[in-house]
Amino acid sequence: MFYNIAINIIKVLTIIVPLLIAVAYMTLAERKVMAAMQRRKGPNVVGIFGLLQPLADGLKLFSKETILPSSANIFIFLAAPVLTFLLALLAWCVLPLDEGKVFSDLNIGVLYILAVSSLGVYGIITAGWSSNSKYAFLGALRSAAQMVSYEVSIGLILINILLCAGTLNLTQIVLAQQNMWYIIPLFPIFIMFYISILAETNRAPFDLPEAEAELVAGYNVEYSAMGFALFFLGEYANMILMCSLTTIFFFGGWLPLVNMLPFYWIPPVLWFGLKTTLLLFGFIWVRAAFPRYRYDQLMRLGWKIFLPLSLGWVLLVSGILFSFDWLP
Amino acid sequence: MTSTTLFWIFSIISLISACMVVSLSNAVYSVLFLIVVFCNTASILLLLGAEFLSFLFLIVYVGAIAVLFLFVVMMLNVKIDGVKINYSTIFLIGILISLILLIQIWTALQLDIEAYDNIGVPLSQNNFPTIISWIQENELPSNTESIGLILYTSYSLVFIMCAFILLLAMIGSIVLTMNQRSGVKTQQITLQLYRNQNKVVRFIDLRKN
Amino acid sequence: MLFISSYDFYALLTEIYFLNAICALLIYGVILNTSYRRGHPVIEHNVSGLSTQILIVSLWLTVCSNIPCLTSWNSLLVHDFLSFGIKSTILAISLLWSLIIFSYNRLEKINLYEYWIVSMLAIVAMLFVSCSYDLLAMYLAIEFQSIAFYILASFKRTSEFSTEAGLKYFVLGAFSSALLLLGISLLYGTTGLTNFGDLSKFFLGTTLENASFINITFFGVVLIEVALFFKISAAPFHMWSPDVYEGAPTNVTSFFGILPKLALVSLIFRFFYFCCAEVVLLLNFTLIICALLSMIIGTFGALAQTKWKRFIAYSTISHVGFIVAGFSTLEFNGAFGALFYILVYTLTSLATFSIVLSFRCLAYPSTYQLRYLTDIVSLVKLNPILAGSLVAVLFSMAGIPPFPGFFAKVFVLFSLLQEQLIGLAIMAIFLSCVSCFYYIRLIQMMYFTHTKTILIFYPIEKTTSTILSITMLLLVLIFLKIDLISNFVHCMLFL
Repeated sequence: MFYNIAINIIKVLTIIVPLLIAVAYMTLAERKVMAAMQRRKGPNVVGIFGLLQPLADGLKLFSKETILPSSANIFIFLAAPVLTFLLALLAWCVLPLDEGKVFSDLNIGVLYILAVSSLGVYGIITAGWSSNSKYAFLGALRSAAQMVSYEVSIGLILINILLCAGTLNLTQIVLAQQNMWYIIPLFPIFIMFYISILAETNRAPFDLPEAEAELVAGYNVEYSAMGFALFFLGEYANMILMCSLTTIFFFGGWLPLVNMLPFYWIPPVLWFGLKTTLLLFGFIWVRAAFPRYRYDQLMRLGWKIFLPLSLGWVLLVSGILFSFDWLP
Repeated sequence: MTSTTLFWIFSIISLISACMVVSLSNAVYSVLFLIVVFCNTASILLLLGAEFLSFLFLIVYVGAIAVLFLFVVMMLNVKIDGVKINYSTIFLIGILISLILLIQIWTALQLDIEAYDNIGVPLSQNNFPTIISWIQENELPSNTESIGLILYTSYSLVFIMCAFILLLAMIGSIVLTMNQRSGVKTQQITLQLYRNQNKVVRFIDLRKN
Repeated sequence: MLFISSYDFYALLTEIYFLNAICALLIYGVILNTSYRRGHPVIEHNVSGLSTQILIVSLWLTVCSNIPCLTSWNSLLVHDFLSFGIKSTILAISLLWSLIIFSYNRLEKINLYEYWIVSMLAIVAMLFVSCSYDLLAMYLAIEFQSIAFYILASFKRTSEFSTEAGLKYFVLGAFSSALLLLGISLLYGTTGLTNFGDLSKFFLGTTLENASFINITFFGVVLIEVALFFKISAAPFHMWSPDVYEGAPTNVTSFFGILPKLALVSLIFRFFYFCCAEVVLLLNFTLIICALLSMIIGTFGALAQTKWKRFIAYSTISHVGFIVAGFSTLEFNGAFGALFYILVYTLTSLATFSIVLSFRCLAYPSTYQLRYLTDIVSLVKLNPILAGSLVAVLFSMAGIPPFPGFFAKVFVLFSLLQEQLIGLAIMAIFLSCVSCFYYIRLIQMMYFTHTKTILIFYPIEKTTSTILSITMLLLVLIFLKIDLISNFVHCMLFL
């Protein structure tokens, strides 16, 4: 009994600790890459190449005073960042990094991921409401509407992949791509998925919830110190999660590029990390390159373009699979 | 043992939060408790082994419907102290009706569980660890598969009817809320995209005017 | 594993045609109505004509089809003479109804073509209700119908009354749907069955001794009964109907008044007489109480009304009381009486609404609908034919001999007497005497009261007057050939 619990805790820690480190260095990477794109140097003071910068940032946030706004709804105000962070971690337990290297191999893993990511809205919307501030509230409303809208098209896009793979289990989805990664037959869907996850994680160019120019910082204006840090961690963990999901759904997860000798030597986990990192680089690149969308354009893109297009793709893919008898 | 305990925990939490949904005066809290109810119900479904339904429940009710609820309730900005309902008028009738219902349910349920015991349906075998035949589990279609197999074949009519109900609901909500006014300056995205510089920039001879 | 045969499609031919046609109509409407190039044309009139055409074609499809007596779609639906008869009646009556509405919509400037789409969907939902043979299909069909009704009730968005009516109907209707679901789940939980046929077989040997599960089935059946009675506005569950009838725009009120009861009554017949016959035998008293209460409330409620639509709502409640009384005998004579009554009621209310819809008053340059009962004072001088036909309708409602309303009441009363429900029969006679009073009061108002201010009536449109004359002819002359209706009902009932 005790042994089991201890083993499980260690398992959980082996997922969470590397994830948090990844999040920390993700922020550094973002600043460095963006700096390079804008011909700046980026953080370079703390440690060699600024490698200790994330640690310094974390320490600073940790040591700051937690400010509770006097008219805020204290309980919900405190619960919201915790909820966001918790949900961001929760989704990781079904993510396979290699065949068998997964905390819990659910046979409805995709549904689990969808459920957890749909719960993620609550952290944001309750944070905005409970801070009792107009900016935060507006940011929260925008963010909730945006996430709900893009979740619809994400769900429909996932149906295409499920149709091709014939299973809801993430490991089996990867194994179904042994002959061909899904990005090749489903390239347009991949593009749509990538844009949708940009919107789902509230990243540029869809970062309206925290549009600095109009809303100061969106739903987390009133948060300081650890509350803010938790939101930050949750957001970046979500980004990494979404990129790993893209890897699993379209890039064959841990499968090597070609099943030949030189590629075969690299361990599968590294393949997984490499693909995810490339996608994350894309996230940063997009942020540096594109201006922000206007809100009505964002909604129009979600409901009037992505939704019908992804529905059409579901019909097309299922029709092709059915007529050629390729259904798994 | 654990599944029974979990069942009790989930059901007690969901009952308490259901009472809170009704009794709280702040609508936002009510919706938040409603979400708790949904989550607990989903967990009970999970305990029953209906994992597909449980997650769909979470996605649809918690992820979509309750968010919109919360959205609307937060934006309504209802003044709480505005309306005071006189409970004394409805109190007696309410108690009477709920008593009748309670007695009905009580008699019905009590007799029924006894009956099941007499028949000998093994409702609860919690004292013994259940042995799962893995070979059979592998052979059996999963939850998702079995729902799919039945929903799109024998119950296809029900599926289609649901589709039409949703279509109707969509038409209804659009009709009742969309306000087609003329003369509103909305942006025509296509017009914006079709604009090119050759047509926009032109030389005007001022002298002629 | 093919579960669906071609018979399933054949039996549903009308509905399939209907739904496809509605979808085509919807697409047509959306494309044309949002067309920037054509300047967003108002296509209500066009769509109304097209939907009438759909109704004609589907009526033709239904009447000309060979009646297959079968259960289809994994016995979710049943196709027998009852559903055939009810379906063709619904289609015929809704065809006539759509023709009444034309002029009203044009005069009231109801420009949303969706009105027709939603009401067509409601009609197809009724078709499903009349042939559902499974608790699942029943629930979905009823929900389908009710959602369409909620939308229709609040269709006049700018009117506070209409939105209030829609909201009230929605909240109460959702509550009753919840009861229906609870009842269904209790039935399913105890028996594990949802099919009407299976359930009737299951209950066949039930006696009081099997008290272990009879209690819970009682509860389930009572809950379903409550929900169904709510939908047809029988008495203790009637609260929504006067408000909704009054608040909804008149074209929608006419729809509520004429059509849905027909489908629901056939469903109630199927549920009580076939599915749960053995259980309902022991629940007879609830039916009797409902019948009595609805007659009393309908009759005395109507006495106090001053507005047309509320008046009609209350008189509907009392008619529903008669229908439930017919069912409460739990005998075939009673069912015959009830189905006869509902057919006559439908015909009469079609006539009523075609008259009420033509009470338009001219106040230059516009026209408006008359709302109060007292507005018809000395109608005989303004429009003697309209007054005469209103007299015929009121006599039929009151049950004065040569009109069909009389026969309907007689059949119900006979069956009550046959089953020794003498108290109910006496109450029914007494209450219909009371109702005679206020029906005749209206006639007195039209013919014998004089007023100094005289309203100018807007001339009745051609389509409305055509329907009015058809229904009038039927009402006045049907007693010569009353076996037309009774044979129809006999055909529906015996298989």
